[in-house]
Amino acid sequence: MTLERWLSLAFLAFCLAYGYAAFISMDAALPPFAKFSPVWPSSFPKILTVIGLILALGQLTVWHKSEPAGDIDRRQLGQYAWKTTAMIIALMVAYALLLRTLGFVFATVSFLVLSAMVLGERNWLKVAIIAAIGAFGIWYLVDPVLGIFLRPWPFVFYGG
Amino acid sequence: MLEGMLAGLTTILSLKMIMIVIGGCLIGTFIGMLPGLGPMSIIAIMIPVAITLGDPSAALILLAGVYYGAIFGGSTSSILINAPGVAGTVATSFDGYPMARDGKAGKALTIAAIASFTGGTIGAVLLMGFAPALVQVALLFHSAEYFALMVLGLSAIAAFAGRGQVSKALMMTCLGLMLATVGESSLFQMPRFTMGLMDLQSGIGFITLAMAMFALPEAILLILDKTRSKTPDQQQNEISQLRITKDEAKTMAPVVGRQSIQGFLIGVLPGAGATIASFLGYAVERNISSPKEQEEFGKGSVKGLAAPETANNAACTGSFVPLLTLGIPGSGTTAILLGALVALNVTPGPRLMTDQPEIFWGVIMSMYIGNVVLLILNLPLIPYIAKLLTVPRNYLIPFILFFTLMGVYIGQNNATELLILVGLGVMATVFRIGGYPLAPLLIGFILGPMLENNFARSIQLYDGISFLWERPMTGVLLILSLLLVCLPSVRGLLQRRRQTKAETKTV
Amino acid sequence: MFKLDFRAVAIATAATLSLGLATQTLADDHAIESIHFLIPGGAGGGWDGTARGTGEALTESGLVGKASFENMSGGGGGKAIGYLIENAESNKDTLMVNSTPIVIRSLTKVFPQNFRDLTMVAGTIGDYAALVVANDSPYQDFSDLVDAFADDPRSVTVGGGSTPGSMDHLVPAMAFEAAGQEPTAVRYVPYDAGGQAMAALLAGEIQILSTGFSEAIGLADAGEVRIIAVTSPERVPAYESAPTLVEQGYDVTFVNWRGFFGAPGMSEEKRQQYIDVLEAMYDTPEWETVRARNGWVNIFNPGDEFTAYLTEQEQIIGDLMRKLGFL
Repeated sequence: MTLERWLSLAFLAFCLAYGYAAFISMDAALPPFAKFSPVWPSSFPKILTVIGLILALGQLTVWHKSEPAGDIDRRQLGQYAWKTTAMIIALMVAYALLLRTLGFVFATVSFLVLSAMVLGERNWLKVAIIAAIGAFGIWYLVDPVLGIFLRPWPFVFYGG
Repeated sequence: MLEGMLAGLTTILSLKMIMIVIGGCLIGTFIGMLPGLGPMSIIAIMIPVAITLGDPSAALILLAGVYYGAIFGGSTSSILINAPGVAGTVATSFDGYPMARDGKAGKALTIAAIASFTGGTIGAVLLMGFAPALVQVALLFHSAEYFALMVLGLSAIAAFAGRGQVSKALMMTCLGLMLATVGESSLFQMPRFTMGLMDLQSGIGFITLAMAMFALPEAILLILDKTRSKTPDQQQNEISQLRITKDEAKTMAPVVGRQSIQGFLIGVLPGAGATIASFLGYAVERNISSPKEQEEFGKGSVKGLAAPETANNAACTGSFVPLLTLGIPGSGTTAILLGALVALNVTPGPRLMTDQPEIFWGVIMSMYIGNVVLLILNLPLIPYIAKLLTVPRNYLIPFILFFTLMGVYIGQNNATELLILVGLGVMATVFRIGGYPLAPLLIGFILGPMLENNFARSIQLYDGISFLWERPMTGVLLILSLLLVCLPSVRGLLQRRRQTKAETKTV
Repeated sequence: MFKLDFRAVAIATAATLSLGLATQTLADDHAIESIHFLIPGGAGGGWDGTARGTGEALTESGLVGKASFENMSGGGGGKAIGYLIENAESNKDTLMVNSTPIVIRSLTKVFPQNFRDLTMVAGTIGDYAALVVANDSPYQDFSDLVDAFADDPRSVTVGGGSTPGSMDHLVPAMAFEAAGQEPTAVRYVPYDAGGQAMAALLAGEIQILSTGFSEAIGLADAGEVRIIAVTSPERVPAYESAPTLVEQGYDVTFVNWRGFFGAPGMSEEKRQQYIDVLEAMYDTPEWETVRARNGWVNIFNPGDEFTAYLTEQEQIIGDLMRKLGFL
């Protein structure tokens, strides 16, 4: 089965879960007052569920085209740098988790340096300097100049 | 009127004022490039600065400069790294980014600059001439018509339904509409589909989804496929090239002309705004183009870039009509501008033109000046901005990734949103690889709440769906959107028939 | 060559850093050294404006040395409340801004906490609610509306810029209830923003607009609408011609307050310090500038009075919401 059909199937599953919430569990939480209203919070989702199910089933059966679409040549997928990408995504997750603890400047510099190295950059010092200037510069612009709070330094620096 | 214009011009034309507008444009452009800080938040931040200038006209011209600068800056990040920071520039990236990826970043930025300049300027002319009359027309629009207008806006997805892919585009639109229903329903204070997560209570943020659908998959694909980005030296020659050919200018001119007017008219409606205007502009221009030109849409079409950029800026100007004549802010940005005006002791409304003509004309004149200064300032900068793309990929990719992350985090300080971003981004990349277009998803997500709310409101007001036939304008708009979607296939059918006829004749 | 560059950058960075630290230690003779404002929503909203305006007045008048602002959106404000409670230890110098929705949202269980979990510092400003009709509307005062409503409840549609169950909905419901009508019969239609609701009023889609009084004044000044009722106990000097509900014979008053909260476990001494500095703020010209710019009404409600006031408001709103069927 091609990726296209797997994705249609995933969409179908999503529609079923969405529809379960829209048709079955959501209305139970409806405030009694709202029951008199001609339109409910679940009305629009119910319509969407029906449309979504028709589209997903249609795509899986009748409308399915064998010719590939989009600008990506899927015969090349084998040569893709999956490992590098996985590592970069892991770095992004780590950035999200550690951003508050490490502070903006430190977390950003580490993220930029590590991801450049994962991509194959050797000269880490050069990246570090550019990253430090960039991170500090953006923090300076956003926090002191524009007055939008961005915690710059690690959490431990702030009393408590 | 001429007198008022001159009065407005004299208040504006002084060295100090010119310096202020240049400063405003520069600040706006620069900050506007950072996704996450749209015109609305930049203006909110600049208001205290503007107020300390003391003089209302100086404050207004500063804000106008910042506003136009921020819009242009937003288009820049949409075109260069596919990262639309505000909903109004989403349509810009549909064709602007493919153009930049083709090595024509300089050209794309120039088209954007000229289109927005023209849209803004023609908008300002229309604002001067027809503001009071138009606002009466705008008030004929009820929720039912807004609902129909959103349906019309949804027809923009036709551009992404390439050969045999109609059902895929529709599927992604449906998914976008579904994602838009996550969070507290505006119909009742009731959380929907939040799975008990507090971070989903107010829904998925626009920036989060825009970055996850556009900028992040692009960056991930660049990592996955090393051959995807052209080698720097190959691009060098063309990338900073500004020149637009005569042919391109010729294709652009009618689009810009039409969209200046259409965009302006949509901007006048208090419940529509620049985003709808840009989608509608894109949809209309695509669907009235010749079948050959239609193929180009979504792949770097000049028309496809010029249309939303013009409409977006014309609509921004149009949204000043209800603001200046009725004191109604039609968009988030004009709501903030209204706050600034009130803080400067200016009360927008029908009396503004007679009571404080120098302010009224000052506002309009500062729009002209802001537009002109922006164009003069940015054209020489474009080669340098475009060169950003020639940065080696080991540096470029981490910075693009950081940009998308920062856009989501800045001003919100909610790290969970970053995890949502990464999750949705990975999902979007898989869909990209599977050949599913992502633009319809974002269009559905943006139009979804407006579609649902206007629909629900109309049902509440009419106790049912009788508004569909009781309000003639609603019906007209709905039929129009049906026609717009069917037009290409009908025309294709006619052409095929003509061809077969011609063939049978020759045989 | 490269190393040299690096050193220069390092020195420059160090210099900037020490400069930053130096300016931080300068502040001495202020009543409070520094306040960190926690804003439970994004930049540019109402809470944001309140915190930044208050911070601006406090620092410029010299009452406070330094003010910083942190936006934290999520969960309709619940995220910031949770954060303040969990990290109470490291947030001793933090004040969180909030307003009436903290009461409503803890009643509807949007977030599990309520205002009692925090240290109540003070309510500082407020805005009354107002009912507005278009200039050409046949309704001259609220009793005209009550008559029309008694005839046919469907003939009167109220619109507002927020969801049902929020203030814009509760105020007209309270008013009609005080007039002896059935509050559940009030047809309230929500709009995405106040501006759109206003446009709907002028377009004739709704008959009454329910909104904040300061916004209503701005709209009335523009000359297209009339304010037919305001929820203040007496007429407000800023707009004398707007009649109150009370003087029309309907006993309804309502204030949408905004105020500040501290982390749980804040010392009594510290809380008093904040109350004193906020109280002193009202007499400064800097505050007057900020207040006038935003059209706020000074309503000072410090410490235990604040607690008592919120308890009462919770009671009233809770009763009404139960009657309307929201709880």
